[in-house]
Amino acid sequence: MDLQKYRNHLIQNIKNKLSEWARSEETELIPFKEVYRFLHSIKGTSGTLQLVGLVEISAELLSKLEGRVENWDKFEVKNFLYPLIEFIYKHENSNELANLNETVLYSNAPVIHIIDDDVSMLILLKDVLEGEGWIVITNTNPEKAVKQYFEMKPDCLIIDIHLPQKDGFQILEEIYEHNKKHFIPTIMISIKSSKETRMKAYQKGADDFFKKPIDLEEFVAKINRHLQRKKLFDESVLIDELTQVYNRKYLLESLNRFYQDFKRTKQPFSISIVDIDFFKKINDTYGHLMGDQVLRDFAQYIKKNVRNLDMIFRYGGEEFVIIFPKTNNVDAKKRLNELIRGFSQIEFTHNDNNFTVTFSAGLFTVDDMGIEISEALKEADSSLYEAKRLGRARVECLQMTSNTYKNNVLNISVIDDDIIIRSLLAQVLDSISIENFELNIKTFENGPSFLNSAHAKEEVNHFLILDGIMPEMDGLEVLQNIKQGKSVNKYKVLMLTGRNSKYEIERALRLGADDYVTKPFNVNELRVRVERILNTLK
Amino acid sequence: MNRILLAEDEEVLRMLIVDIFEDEDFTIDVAADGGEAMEFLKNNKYDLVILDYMMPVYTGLEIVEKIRCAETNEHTKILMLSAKSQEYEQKKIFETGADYFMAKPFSPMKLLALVEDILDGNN
Repeated sequence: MDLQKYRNHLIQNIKNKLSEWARSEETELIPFKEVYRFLHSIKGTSGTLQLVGLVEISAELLSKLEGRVENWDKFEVKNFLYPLIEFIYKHENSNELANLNETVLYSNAPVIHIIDDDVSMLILLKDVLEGEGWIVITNTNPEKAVKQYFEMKPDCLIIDIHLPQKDGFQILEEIYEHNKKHFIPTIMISIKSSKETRMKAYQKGADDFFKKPIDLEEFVAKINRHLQRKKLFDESVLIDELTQVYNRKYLLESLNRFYQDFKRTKQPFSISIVDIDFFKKINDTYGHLMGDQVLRDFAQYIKKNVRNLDMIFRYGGEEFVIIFPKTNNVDAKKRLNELIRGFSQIEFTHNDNNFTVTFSAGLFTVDDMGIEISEALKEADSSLYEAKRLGRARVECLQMTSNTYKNNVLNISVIDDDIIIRSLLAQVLDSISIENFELNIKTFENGPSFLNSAHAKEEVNHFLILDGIMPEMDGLEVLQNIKQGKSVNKYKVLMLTGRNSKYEIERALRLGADDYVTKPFNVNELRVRVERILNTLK
Repeated sequence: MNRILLAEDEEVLRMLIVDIFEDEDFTIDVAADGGEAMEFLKNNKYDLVILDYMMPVYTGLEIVEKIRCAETNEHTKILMLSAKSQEYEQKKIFETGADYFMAKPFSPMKLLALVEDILDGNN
């Protein structure tokens, strides 16, 4: 007997019930008994329909309900029923999810930026390159592309020569200075491959040239090679040989970059000069080899115990600089104190002698427009001197009161008519935190309810995950609505599209979507991509 | 022809049971809760009543009591479906007057076989 029909029916009924609850007023309580009955009925039915996973989940949830009697609001119910939502998502998409590439996407995966107005090509390349475990960002619009290039700082750039408004050569010119400094491998692709075109590309700074149609195997191999060299380059030019953290040369450049960002965004960042206490004594007592060991271990300790976006540089000798982007004075001080405490507990061994090492830190937070960046380092240095004077193994900050940084607000909206996708995404987003941003997550079951909501109208930054296909008003219309609004720059939009809806993807990108994800998606991969997009917010 | 009443509040199970009985030689009335079941019982006589234990309005057990109160229902067989399959629950179900018991979740084919068996014994 074929049970599929009944299974679908059961799942649909579950979804209907979840939707009904989701629609209820925020203040309305959902009777405990109703949740109990709902799960009880799922348990009874799913066994007959041989949905083993569902039997287990409903039984487990029921056992958690034992002894409870209080009524819940809709958010509590949704959180409680999350395992059920996840099950349905996997069940409904089981075939497609099984076919998805099992590529694990790491947050530190290389970023490849493709600029091409040929959407079929974009989709194809994105698919292939993401299959390699790389993160791919795409643009059809050259203006937007240049902006995104500076924001995302990709590890490899692929540009089609023939673009509307501005051709690939012009883009090369605009990014030339930045590219020269960072050696970002740049590959031109073109339908035309005359010697003249190729020569022009190389003269303008391209590293490689591919004629369309592209041999994908060779393309991937070449990009792989470029990425390897880029990594080696980054390491050799910017990294201190002994301690394997950034060198002084890169410090000055980074400081300037953070300072420029600060002038634009008014978000403070903190700089700390740290110095290993009594380092000369270590050298004298245990020898220079041991001294080098301490330097290495110290640098690696700091690197491992700061956030990914923080940066550590060897300033010279036993002096290092740590930059804490988007971090106010209070938070930076707290982090430094933790680092000082943690490092002091590490034991070094030399010829059966155990010893511990401490360091001192001087802190300065850039949160006042009046100061020049060279002053900031001097200020941090005086504070370091003060920390040494006051007994070492401590952090000091001579700076007068600094304004505590006020969090920016980011309204995140998930707009999808499918209750399962909505709930799933809300859960994923809930686990994300973005430094210095207060996140407000809301879900909407259609475009108009989002557009008319107070949430959408708030004058804050917005991040939308938008389903392409919805009844009444589809995602593209919603996107169009937003992009025509006055605060278009405050929006980041991630479109959810069908795997084969090329037209939809094309329209979405043209209308200014920042990225797209095809359904069904792998939840972890989506999390990484969302984090990636959100981290570009300044 | 045999006449059956099915009282089950879970829509999907109702559909499924009705479908597996489709080719069989009996007529079936379908109730979505205890209240509807009571209405059917007021006006009709059944050879077999299939009851879910946990239902809104009246529970399966309450319906068994009602059926067994009326003498005209002496020959009506009662099959209780229940997720409460512990022994003392079963004992209570039989003591109240049900004739058969099938634990939930049940296999549709087994249910059909049992129902055929019950009705064969009737004839």
